Amino acid sequence: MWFVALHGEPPSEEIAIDEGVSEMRPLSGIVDTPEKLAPSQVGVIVWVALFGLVGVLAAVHRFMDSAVRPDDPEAASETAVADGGRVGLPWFRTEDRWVVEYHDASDAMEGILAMGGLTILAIVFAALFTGEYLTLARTQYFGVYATGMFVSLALLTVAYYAWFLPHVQVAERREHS
Amino acid sequence: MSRIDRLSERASGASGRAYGWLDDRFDVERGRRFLGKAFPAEDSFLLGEVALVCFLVLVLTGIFLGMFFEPSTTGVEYEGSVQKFQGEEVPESFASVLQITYDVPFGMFIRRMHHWAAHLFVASIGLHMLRVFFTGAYRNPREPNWVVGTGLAGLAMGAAYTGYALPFDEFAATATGIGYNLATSVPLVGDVIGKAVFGGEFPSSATIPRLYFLHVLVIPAAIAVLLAVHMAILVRQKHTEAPRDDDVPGQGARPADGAAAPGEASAGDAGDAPAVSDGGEATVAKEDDTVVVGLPAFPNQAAVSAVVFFLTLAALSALAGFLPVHNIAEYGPNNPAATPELIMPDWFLMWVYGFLKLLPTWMSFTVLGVHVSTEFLGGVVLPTLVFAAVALWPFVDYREEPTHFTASPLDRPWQTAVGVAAVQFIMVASIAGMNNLLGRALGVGTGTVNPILSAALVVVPVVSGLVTYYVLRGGSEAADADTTTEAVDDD
Repeated sequence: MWFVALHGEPPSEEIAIDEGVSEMRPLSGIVDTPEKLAPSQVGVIVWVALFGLVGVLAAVHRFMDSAVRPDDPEAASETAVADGGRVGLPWFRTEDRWVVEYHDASDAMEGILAMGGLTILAIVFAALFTGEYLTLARTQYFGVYATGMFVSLALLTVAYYAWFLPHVQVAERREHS
Repeated sequence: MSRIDRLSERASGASGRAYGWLDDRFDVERGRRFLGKAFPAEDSFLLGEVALVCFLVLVLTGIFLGMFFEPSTTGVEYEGSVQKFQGEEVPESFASVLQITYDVPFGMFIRRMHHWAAHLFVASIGLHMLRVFFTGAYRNPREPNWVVGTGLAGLAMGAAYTGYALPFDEFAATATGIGYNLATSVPLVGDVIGKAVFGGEFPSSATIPRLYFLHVLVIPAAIAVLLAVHMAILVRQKHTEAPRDDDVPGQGARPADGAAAPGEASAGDAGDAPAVSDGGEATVAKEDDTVVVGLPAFPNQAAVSAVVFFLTLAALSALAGFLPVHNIAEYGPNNPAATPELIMPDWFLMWVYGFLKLLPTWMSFTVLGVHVSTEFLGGVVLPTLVFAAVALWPFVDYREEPTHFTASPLDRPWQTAVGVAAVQFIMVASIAGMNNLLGRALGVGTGTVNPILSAALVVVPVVSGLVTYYVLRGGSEAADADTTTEAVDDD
């Protein structure tokens, strides 16, 4: 199906812009990309993008899940919190919900470094995006800067989760009383 | 106490006072328990969140686009920066989209993001539904939410379709015309539907305003309502959960002497048992689905959702930055006297287009003076049957008892076979919608490929479904035989 779908639009010429009307250069870019895509080609691209996104999400999700769990039994027993039902936040437990697993956050130094670096990166990309907006407004550059900014923010969240959030699992009764 | 100290004290208590103020008015304290709701940590459960993020992006980028778009087909002289159309009279909607794309800073980026979000919205809903289908997560008591989800899928397609036509360019107007022909093909009420949805004979001066109204208000509002219902049902019924590897500690008070309760790890344990805080008088068996285990909604699941949010935005930004979608400057404004070289609907409606291309004209008939056309059969009846079959599936694969654990597709031979056959059916129909591209790829005419595609539309799903069924059933029987042998050996 994808083989057929990719036989969409034939190549076409770039749209000519009258530079006397606007100082913007939305079509200036880093790489040559197609000028137009047929709906069938769009379908292939969006499904490839979705599978790629799902793959990245799964990898990140698994990293987050493993990073917050202590690897070895010794570490597990050291970071396990057992305070007779007092760990975590007040809403973790109700009459129908209770905490089944809790490990304190590691608060490791590498977490501080990662979050610091990623914060700077996100700010740099946001500044570049703003600069592009105020100057040539090139679409491909917007794409690079926005992607960089959002990836930085995603990784910033991952770092916070991995190093500064306690690992908590709750169990909840399905049938509420 | 100095004035500075008093100010400091007031500032430090500000958040508490603000919370108290809100709690007095909205009883926030009682609602806080929802913050602990359990979300099973499953990768594939994030697909629905991707769809949700796409909808949010669509709303936000749509608001931006709505500030510049003119829903009118009235001719205006184009004065923007695209040389090709300068001084030419074009429809106002077309001119406004050109302005957004080429003369508004990051307008092209936002417009592309809106389009890619629309496509990703439909695709992620589709993949989400496939996940739910193949893992059996639609079973009792979740049938209503499956039906709501099917409605959301239909509305997402409707939103994309009504937005497709808005620039009133030659490509989209021609493709939208296919929808008009289908609407008016409905016996007895076709003209009324045509007037209601398209504002009269397509394309009339009322067409774009009517589609705009549907696109920016009616359909998004309906999606928002159904999304709210979808979420409310999810919260009420709670998530499904993948089968657990181990038992989990039960609820109960820690023994008074401080001894480790059953299921509770104590220092020096081998680490197999989880570290438990609340203790428990008993464990919850891993087969017990009266309990759902997962991350608390806040802060843990909220952080995971934030990652989904940012990564989805990153994917959309990359797509919007580098790949055009519906580049109207290449197609030019609507021209009733011309036909574009390529006519096709959006990819998610390609299967409907395939029905239209494959059904022979001799299938149309007249009963009691009412004409039933091939367009109606292929473009309305068949897609309605497909959607009805999808919506009603949980009542076909019905369970008397509630089922809260997801199942492996490999353990459900006939259900998985039906799913595989259905996917193949839609894929072959979609290829039929692209029969001209297939002919071009193979160097033959559509007259050659159409009969083959017509046969494939029946044969491929049936064969793939049967193969899937027999392969999986063989696997299940082998597994059952192994289990029986082990049981005999134990005896």
